[in-house]
Order: sequence, then C-alpha cells, then structure tokens
Amino acid sequence: MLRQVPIFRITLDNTATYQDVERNPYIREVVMNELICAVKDGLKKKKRDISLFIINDSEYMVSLDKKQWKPSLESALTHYENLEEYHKCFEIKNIIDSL
Amino acid sequence: MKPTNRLPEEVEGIKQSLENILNADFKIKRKKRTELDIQRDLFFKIILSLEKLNMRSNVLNIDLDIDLTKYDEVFYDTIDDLLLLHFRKDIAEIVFFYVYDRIDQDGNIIYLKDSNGNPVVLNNVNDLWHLIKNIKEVTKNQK
Repeated sequence: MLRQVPIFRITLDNTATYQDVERNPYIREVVMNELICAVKDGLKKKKRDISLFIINDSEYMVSLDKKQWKPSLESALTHYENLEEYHKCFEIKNIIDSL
Repeated sequence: MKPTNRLPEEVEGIKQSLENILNADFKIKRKKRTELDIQRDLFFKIILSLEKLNMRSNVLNIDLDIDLTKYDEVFYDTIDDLLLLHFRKDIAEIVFFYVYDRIDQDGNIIYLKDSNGNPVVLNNVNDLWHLIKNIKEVTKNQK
C-alpha cells in the first residue's frame, strides 16, 4: 500500500513549549509508530531516506537519512521496552536486523 | 533585500522536538507546492487581512469613537458577497462567524457546536481551514 506522508500538526498556545511537545506521551507514540511505518516502507522501496512528517501543512517535511534509521529505531525500541510492549519491541528488532 | 534560507521558527522547533524524541538527526526537505498549498496560503492571507480590518474598525469605533460603519459597509458587503460566491452559504457563514463574532468584547473565544452538540473551538485560521476542509469532505462522501 502506498504510504502517504502524514501531517504533523501542532499549534503551541502561549504557555506551551517544544519541550512539552517532546514530553507528550501521545505525540511520542505517534512519532514512534510513524517511524516504524516509514522505515518499513523505505526498506521495501529501497529508499536512501524517508520523509517522516509534513510540518503543519507547510511545504516543509522532516526526513531521515538511511544512516539515521538504526539510531532512531533503537530509541523506539527503548521507548517500547519501557512501556513493556514486547510485540512492538520484537517488530522493531526485526526491522533493525534487516537494515 | 536578500532572500533568506532561514527556516520558519515552527519548522525548526518541531524538527528539534522530533530529533530529541528519536535521538537522530533530521533533514528538512521542501515539497513541491500543490494547488491546495497555494489555495491554503491565499485563504490564510485573506482571513488574516479580514481580521485586521475588523480589528481596525473596532479600535476606531470603541477607542476613538469614530464610526466608519456606513463608509466601510460597502467594502464589507463586497467581501462577504465574494465569500458567498466562492463558498456555499453554510461555509461562508462559518467564515463570517470566525472573522466577526468569534471573539467577544472581553477577548474570550466563542465556540461553535457541531450537530451532536460538541464544542468546536476555532483558535486560529488553521483550525478554520481544517473545519472547512472537513465539512467539504463529509458533504462529498454523503453524495
């Protein structure tokens, strides 16, 4: 299935900061999940980089070079280990092994 | 003036947040602008200008006691008619609400209610754009 690059839509109100964005568990979960989808897609299509998100409907996208896939997946692995979601850990471990 | 390569602050901020979440270095790429991007930018520009115009009229009226309602009326009517020409009536009315009635005299945001009675808060023009997009999608799917 064709992967569509999702839009990362965030508007900070007066009191919120980007640190709050990083700490938000829902956002972290969305980012981790999308990373897994994007890397799987990148591997399937033999890409050298993956576009992870379009930022706030703008013309800008954040992308990850292939050499960054492993360290970012390792962060996702740690995230799911902490949450004790071992099926996800298993999935990520498989992807890392196939890099 | 020289063109600048500096990224918008929100792009830098979000990139940094994502880098911190994943402990990785991201790159920023520019995607090709679509027709929808162009439409969105134009919509933002128009709505932000309308908000400014409305605010200017209010400042003149309330703070300086200068009433230009009669003078401005023809401009506002023309703008409203153009919006009605472009959007359906129900969508144009949401735009009118956003520009003219969304913020009360004390600066509070008044919210809309959807068909189930749930509040729909429009904090900014981006929220308005997405609400209109959603309404159009729903209507398209119902046909």
